[in-house]
Amino acid sequence: MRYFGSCFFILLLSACSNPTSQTSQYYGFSLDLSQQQRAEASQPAHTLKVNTVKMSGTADQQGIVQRLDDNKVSVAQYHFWAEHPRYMLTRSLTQALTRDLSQWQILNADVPTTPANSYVLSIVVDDFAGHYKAGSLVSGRWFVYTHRNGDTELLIHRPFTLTEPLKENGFSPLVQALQVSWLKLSADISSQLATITQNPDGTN
Amino acid sequence: MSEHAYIETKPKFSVIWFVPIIALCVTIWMLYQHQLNKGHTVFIKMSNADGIIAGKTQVRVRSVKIGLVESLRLQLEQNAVIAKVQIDTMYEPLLTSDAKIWVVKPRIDESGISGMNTLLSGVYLELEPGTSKIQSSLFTLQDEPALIGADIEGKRYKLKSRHAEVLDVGTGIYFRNFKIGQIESANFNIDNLAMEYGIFVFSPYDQLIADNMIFWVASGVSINLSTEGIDVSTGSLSKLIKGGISVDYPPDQAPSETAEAQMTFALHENFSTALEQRFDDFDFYLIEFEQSIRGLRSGAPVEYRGMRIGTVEQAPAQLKRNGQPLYFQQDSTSIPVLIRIEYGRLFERSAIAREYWQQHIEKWIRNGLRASLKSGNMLTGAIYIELDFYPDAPDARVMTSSLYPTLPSVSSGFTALSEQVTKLLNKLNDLPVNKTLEQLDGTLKEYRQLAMEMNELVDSFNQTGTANKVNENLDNIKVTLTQLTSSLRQFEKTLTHYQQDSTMVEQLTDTLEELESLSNTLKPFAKGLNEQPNMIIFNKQTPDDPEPRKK
Repeated sequence: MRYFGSCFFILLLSACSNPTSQTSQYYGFSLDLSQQQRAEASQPAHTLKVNTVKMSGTADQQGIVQRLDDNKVSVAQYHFWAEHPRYMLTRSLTQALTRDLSQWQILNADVPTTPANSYVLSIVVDDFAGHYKAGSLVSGRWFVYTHRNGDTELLIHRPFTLTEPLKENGFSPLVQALQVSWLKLSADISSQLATITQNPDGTN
Repeated sequence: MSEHAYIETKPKFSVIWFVPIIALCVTIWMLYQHQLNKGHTVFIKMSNADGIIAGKTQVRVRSVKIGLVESLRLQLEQNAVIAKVQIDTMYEPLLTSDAKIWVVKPRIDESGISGMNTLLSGVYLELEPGTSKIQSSLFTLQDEPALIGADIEGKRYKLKSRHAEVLDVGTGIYFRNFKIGQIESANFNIDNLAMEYGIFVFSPYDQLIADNMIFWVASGVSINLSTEGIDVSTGSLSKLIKGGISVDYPPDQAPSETAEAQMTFALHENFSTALEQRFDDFDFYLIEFEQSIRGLRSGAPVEYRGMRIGTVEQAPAQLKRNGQPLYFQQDSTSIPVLIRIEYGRLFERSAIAREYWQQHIEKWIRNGLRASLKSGNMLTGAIYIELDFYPDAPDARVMTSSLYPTLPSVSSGFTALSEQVTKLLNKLNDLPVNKTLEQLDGTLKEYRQLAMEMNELVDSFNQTGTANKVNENLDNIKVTLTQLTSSLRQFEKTLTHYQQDSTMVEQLTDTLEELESLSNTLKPFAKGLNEQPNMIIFNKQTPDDPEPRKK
């Protein structure tokens, strides 16, 4: 009887516990530690102010999003971005542009100065997700405009859709693929901005 | 050896009985202590017990707990709720009959936001002890908090208003745009159909309140259209938004004795009304006009050669003689107008002015004093009554047959002109072809008379000083523009606080960003909670996330 009672008590206790509890995982882009302190140009030829990246639709959340087959969308319950992706993307973009555009001064939009003939870069991201076929999917559009004589003039408007196959199964490879896509976009923006320098009217 | 049992006499009272006796004593002592510590019971009557919880809601004085609401009982016959409250024994002296009790809850009014701490802690009852020596155990809950504590020095006065708009409790009292007090209570008295305000003037400004003080409602913008022209005036921006009561001494008068507390003053619609209604020593007179009184309104001035001596009360006069209005009389075609001769306007000591007027009015009328209608403002068509001497006017006397003495009048202005022209035309009509030279002369005389009348008319226009009035109006507009500019400047100053890049905006942006970050962090948690409400206690039961697959 005593034996039976002990068994029942242990059973009762074990009912309350859940050994298979899943812990949350947090992800972020890998840091580019190799980036050198850039020798400060004596007088940067141009200034680019980078607005905080705007996330729209399903991209605007901290859970990692995946587009599955049959038009299903999964928002992860246990796998999150360590911070809201808009801040991570803005920082990563600013770093990449600073590295690529040596003649430019890259500033965040909240720096309270507006040098004459400065350019402004705005990016709207609609998709920032894993894709069941393509691997990773980054899509949206970006704009470059300038303020001249009190008017806002749109110089470049480019929609973009970038995909990158995953190297392995799992969330970490997805994050890596998303980072590759994002750096590709950053390189594209750099090259477009370089053409503006050569052709300041933006008539390309 | 004989053995005898030793029989001990049983004590009458067993020691064991001490136990229940001591227990009884302890119980009685405990009951007594309980009763003693229970405190004083008071009852608070309220229209509804919104937010008040029996056993939880506290009664506080200066935020210190002095008691607790014990129970709430509905009293249907009085449409009220009675709260039974236990007040700690040591605070019993605070329960005076004039103590005020109100509910402290979050409030937003013009004095600011108060009671925010009760949002989470729940409401409490604040008691403000009075000064009375009489103790009470039944109180009525006040709707509004007592604005002025018993320890704030100052004096209370009463304001009575028949016309002014309803002002809120807490509205400021301003002396030359400086706040010196506020409205404490506002009630509509249904017996005399007047608003009665209780006001409190803080010390030392209560010394400013003299017997001859005038109070008026300063409601931001006032536009006054009268025979004087258009007068627009604005106050400061805060007054424009909140309104208020202005108080000042009458112009050209020194302050008289300091007013006693609880003295009643009249509250006027605006400054100009306040000035007019000061002349409360007056007599009514009737004037019967044999001409149109179009443009003559109640409140129009009555002047003697430009000096204001009274006010038009009713035009036409709504007086009855033999049960009929005065203008229904068959033998009269005139329009009666009721005026007030205000003696205070003649001389500041009205009793002397009254005596002077009443002694001489008969003589003046005999010498040709007549009332006539004059155009006050060509733009608005407003007219006023002027008294002047017309030595050629037909004889007349002050008529006293009516309800009030009647002053004689003469036709004037356009009426006089049209009468003359009609007369002339009639004469021309009657002119026979074979008229004699004398008749022609007579006609020429009439022409001359007409010319003279025209001259008189032109003179009268000059006398009324129309050009001067226009100048005055322009001056008024200039003053108004200056006031408007000053108000706009204040508004601009207020706006700069909200301009971009200001510290306030920066702090606000930072706070919003922090809030956004917090909301982002909480979003997944909220989502999980929505799917599994017990996830705070138990582990998340949701299935694993689908793993991203390499293709």
